[in-house]
Amino acid sequence: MMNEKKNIGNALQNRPSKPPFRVPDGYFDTLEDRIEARIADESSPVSSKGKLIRMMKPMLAMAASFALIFMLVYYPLSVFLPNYLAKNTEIPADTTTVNENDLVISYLTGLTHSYYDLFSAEEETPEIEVNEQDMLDYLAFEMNEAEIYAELAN
Amino acid sequence: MKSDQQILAELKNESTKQAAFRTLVSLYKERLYWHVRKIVLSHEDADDVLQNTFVKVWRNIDGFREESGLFTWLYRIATNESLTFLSQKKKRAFVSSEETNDYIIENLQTDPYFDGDDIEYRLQKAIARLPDKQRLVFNMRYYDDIKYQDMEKILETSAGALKASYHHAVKKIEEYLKSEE
Repeated sequence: MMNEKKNIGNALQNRPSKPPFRVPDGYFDTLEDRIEARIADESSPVSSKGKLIRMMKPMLAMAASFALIFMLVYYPLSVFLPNYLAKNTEIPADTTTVNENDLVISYLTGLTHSYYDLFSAEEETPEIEVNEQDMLDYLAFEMNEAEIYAELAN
Repeated sequence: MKSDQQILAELKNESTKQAAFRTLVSLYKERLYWHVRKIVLSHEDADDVLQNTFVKVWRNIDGFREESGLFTWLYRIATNESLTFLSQKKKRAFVSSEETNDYIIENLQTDPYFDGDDIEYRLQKAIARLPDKQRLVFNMRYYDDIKYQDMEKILETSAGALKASYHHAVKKIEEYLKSEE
């Protein structure tokens, strides 16, 4: 062993081969407790609520990321460049060369339009012509006289 | 003091398992700590790795088949945990092995628990630059004076290959120290 050590640099030959490190005071005194606490912590059963949250975490994170990307790209465009966005929504049929920005914008606007259409279609109310007599009949059925008077006065 | 055989027998009995594990930690914590510390260098990292090592021992103690001694088994787990820890650091930081060694050296520079002077710092830098296997062999031989026959069981490598690794390591360290002078 000594012969092996003699090969390592002159300055190190006569030094004790002890690593030049130390540990914080009392480190080894509490190690058993910390290890036992960690084992107990890791083996304690996780509640079903905790499991669900753990399972949902990546999905929620992904949804949040998409929402953030959408807000960062679409919202500034709609605020600062509404005309540009509107112009790019209608892509001419005979366009043969499309640049990357146009594609992204048209994708985003197309996406929002399709969602908008989806929801707005559900909420759309049919236009029905209502004459004055129908209105009064309806009010008479739904309200008392005082309420009808107040409504008409307004 | 209890022998390894006694500890192992108690670890396999549910009623004495907890107390025996505490005895095992007490008995080996310092030796394993210093083994790990020499690989990862910083105290914080060594503490993490040491705890991981003992948690793994606790989880796998029932599967320990006593083909090797308890000390050899513990050393092997600690070595694997240390190398896994460093490789995870490498993956997380998307860096090459050489840059991982830079991470180890940076850790050493900022570690308040490094007591060495300039020569010792340069020696640690030279050791950190070695490939993993050579670094392990060098530390085990130079600092811990572990025999090649024992190292064979821990690192699962022949004594001849270990001797060659040690001599390569010494040569590289010497060259590095000369270049730094």
